[in-house]
Amino acid sequence: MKPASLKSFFSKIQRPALWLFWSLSPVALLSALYFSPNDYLHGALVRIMYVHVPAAWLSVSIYVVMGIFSFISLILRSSFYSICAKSLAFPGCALTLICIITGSIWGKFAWGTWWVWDARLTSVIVLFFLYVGYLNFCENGSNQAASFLNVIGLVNIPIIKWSVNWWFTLHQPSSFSLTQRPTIAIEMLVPLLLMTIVFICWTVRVFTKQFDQNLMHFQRGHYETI
Amino acid sequence: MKLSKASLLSIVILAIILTFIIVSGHSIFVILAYAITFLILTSILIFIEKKTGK
Repeated sequence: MKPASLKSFFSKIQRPALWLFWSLSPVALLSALYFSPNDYLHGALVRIMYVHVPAAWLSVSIYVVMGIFSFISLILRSSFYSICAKSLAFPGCALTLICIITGSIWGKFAWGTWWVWDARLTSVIVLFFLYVGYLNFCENGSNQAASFLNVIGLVNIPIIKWSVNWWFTLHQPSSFSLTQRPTIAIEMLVPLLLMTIVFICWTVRVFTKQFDQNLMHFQRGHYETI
Repeated sequence: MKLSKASLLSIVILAIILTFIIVSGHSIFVILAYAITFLILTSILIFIEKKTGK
């Protein structure tokens, strides 16, 4: 896809994303807080999953997409893809923070502690620091260094994904796989997917807004050329 | 501080959502997790709208 068509696509989806976010939020909340059943083990606390899991999925996915944009920007020496990656960093960082906070609240109930240096939790906090480092480099105008950090940090993604299988962790193994049917009940799957769509809409809105602003800064010359 | 229409709407909907979460009657852990999540999401939306001036 050419940069011009991507730019036009981003501006087209900006407004629908916001309206979908606000209109779907109450439906997803109703579904998650009122209609979904309690878990046999965690009781009503399982409802934290509906905000924790989408935030975790998106924080990892956004980092991968950013990595692809950064890689292309380094290969093609294109500032456009660097701007795309930069615009995704802020929502990605916020979602990682939400994932850590909600996971910590759930952990306090399930494990009796807010935090443990478990493989999954540690690799996610590393992801958070990668986002912070990336944003810090961008803030200082070192876009090339930021892109390098982003690409190198992709090593952390398989560690996050398989940490629960490679090491003995307190964190439960994944209930979802791309190759197998989900082991979660359909009554719980529906609110989870609804909440994921809400989070995606929010990400799209924040990303497109950030993109507009970063592109404007670039056109005014306040941006280091890669 | 002048807020845009979109920001004001965001604040109103956030207030409704927070009321919705609190009256659900779930444990403090659930309420805390949802309230923090939606506070972060909405604050960022308002911040972005204000920054871009639309």
